[in-house]
Amino acid sequence: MNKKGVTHKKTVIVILILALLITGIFSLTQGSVKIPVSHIAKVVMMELGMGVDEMIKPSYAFIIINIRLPRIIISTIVGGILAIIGVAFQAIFKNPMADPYIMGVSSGAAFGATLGIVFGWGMSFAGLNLISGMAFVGALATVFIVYNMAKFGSKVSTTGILLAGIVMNAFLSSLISLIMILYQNDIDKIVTWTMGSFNAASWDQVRMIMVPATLGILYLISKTNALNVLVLGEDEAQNLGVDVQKLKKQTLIISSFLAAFAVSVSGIIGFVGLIIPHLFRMIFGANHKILIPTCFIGGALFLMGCDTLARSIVPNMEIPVGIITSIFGGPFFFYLLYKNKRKLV
Amino acid sequence: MSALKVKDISFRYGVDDVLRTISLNIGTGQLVSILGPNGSGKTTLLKNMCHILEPHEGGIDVLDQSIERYSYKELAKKVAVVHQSAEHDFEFSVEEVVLMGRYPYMKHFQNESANDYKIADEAMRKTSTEHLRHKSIKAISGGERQRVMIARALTQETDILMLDEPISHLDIKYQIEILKLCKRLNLEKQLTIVTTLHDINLASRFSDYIVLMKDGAIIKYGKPEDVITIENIMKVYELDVELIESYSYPMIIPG
Repeated sequence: MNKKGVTHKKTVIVILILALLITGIFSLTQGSVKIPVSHIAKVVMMELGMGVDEMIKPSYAFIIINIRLPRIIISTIVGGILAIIGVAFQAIFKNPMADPYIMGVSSGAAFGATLGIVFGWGMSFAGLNLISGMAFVGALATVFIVYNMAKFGSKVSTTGILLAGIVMNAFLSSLISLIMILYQNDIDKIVTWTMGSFNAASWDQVRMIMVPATLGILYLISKTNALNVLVLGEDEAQNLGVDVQKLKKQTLIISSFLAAFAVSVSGIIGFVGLIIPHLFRMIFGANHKILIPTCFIGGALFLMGCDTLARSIVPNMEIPVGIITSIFGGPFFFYLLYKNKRKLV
Repeated sequence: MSALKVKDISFRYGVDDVLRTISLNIGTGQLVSILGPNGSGKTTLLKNMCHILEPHEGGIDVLDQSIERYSYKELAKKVAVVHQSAEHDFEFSVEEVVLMGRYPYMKHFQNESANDYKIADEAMRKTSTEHLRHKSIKAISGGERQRVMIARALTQETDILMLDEPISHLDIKYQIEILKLCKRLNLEKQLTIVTTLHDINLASRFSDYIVLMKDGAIIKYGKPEDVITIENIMKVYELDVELIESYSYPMIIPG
């Protein structure tokens, strides 16, 4: 990156953050109850303990503070996380099709959630329901199996991970189908969960995901130089001073942990981890120093926007956000493919 | 002082012996070529010498210290390597790639300093790649890319440069250009250079010493005039050649 690129990067980040804030405020106004922007400002002032001359409906305050705000924050964090995990995995696997679920996080989480739905729907502890917890455990257990299947001695084979991931995916999908056939009453809930939604967002979830998300982001930012070097090739990276095996292992494990957190609060949301990295790579090139921060904000913006649509596009009904991301993501990905066909050949 | 000391190393892939008790001593400031037919173990030897592979027996010293005792970053400050395998699927500018040579000197969260840019500029000037600076690494020719990879290696500011078949897949013009560049760097900076090569005549012309390998063993190690002989070529390549001695270095023509 040249010095001009650095200032360029800062401008872009500032613009993205502004867009995120504006979309966030707009998103607060949207939903089954439309709340004007002026009321939002008043609710915020009230919350901060400042006097407001005119009273506003308490239900507005409740909706904004306890329903919409945590939901917007969660969708922002999840979107950002999914996008940067996509970036990291694409670098580790040197494969542009790698996504945050490549190590089996999604099928593992879906399997865990399915068990949770069938055997203990609605149970909860510490403000988090059993389904989220089971999804998290299922995701991590699957990652553990995939990782160990792909490990030979002290080395981890990326091809091994791709294959093991595919096998686990097929295996768990069959188990999920089997459970759905045996417990037909729960099919709706299982299908809805696997399509992804933020309708259970709460401040408890925000608190739960905040710390791992922050640590994960800091980890990936600290590794931007190493990831840059790694995409030149593993031998090159080692001879430039990168402990390649350690970098791969750490990144795979930390990113999968993050993905498991994301999936456990939101279900499976596709395409964010795929299109956002591709879009920004096309704009800024492959430098991870630019990609990681811009993709985080870009992914956050995209998913927050999609979730706003998900809960406001059809009156009195919520569409799973995973459907929205795919409806936008699919054609957009085709567009990118079409535009870059020549580069791919 | 010796730049690289290879002490009785053996290396196997599975049960196949690829290197059989090899010993080699390379002095500082030399330009050494490793020659040999396909499968003779040239690249495996080079990869052992830069710690990508670890020998099953024996040991290697880099600048009189065991290679095992270097951390990854410390070794990257002593030895730079241009591998054959470098991948270029990602959109980096030439300048970004060259600057990656500063990786061993950087800490977490650190950006390249003005000094890092200066060193990268110097490396690009030496390799005549300055004009490519803002081009994508994917959009330049094979010869240009090889020069960029050498610039990246120079940016590491090492004592030793290793190259794995740097001129295969290149036109004759670029082949000569790359080897002349190596020779110049070797003379100007007293850079120790170890390179695997396929072309016997080019190796003879540009090298101080040649390592001739066959079946994982060194058949001959010495100055070009001692290594490039009719008998040695027959022994290693099973090929009849005519030797031309009218230049300052021996050349061969296959009979």
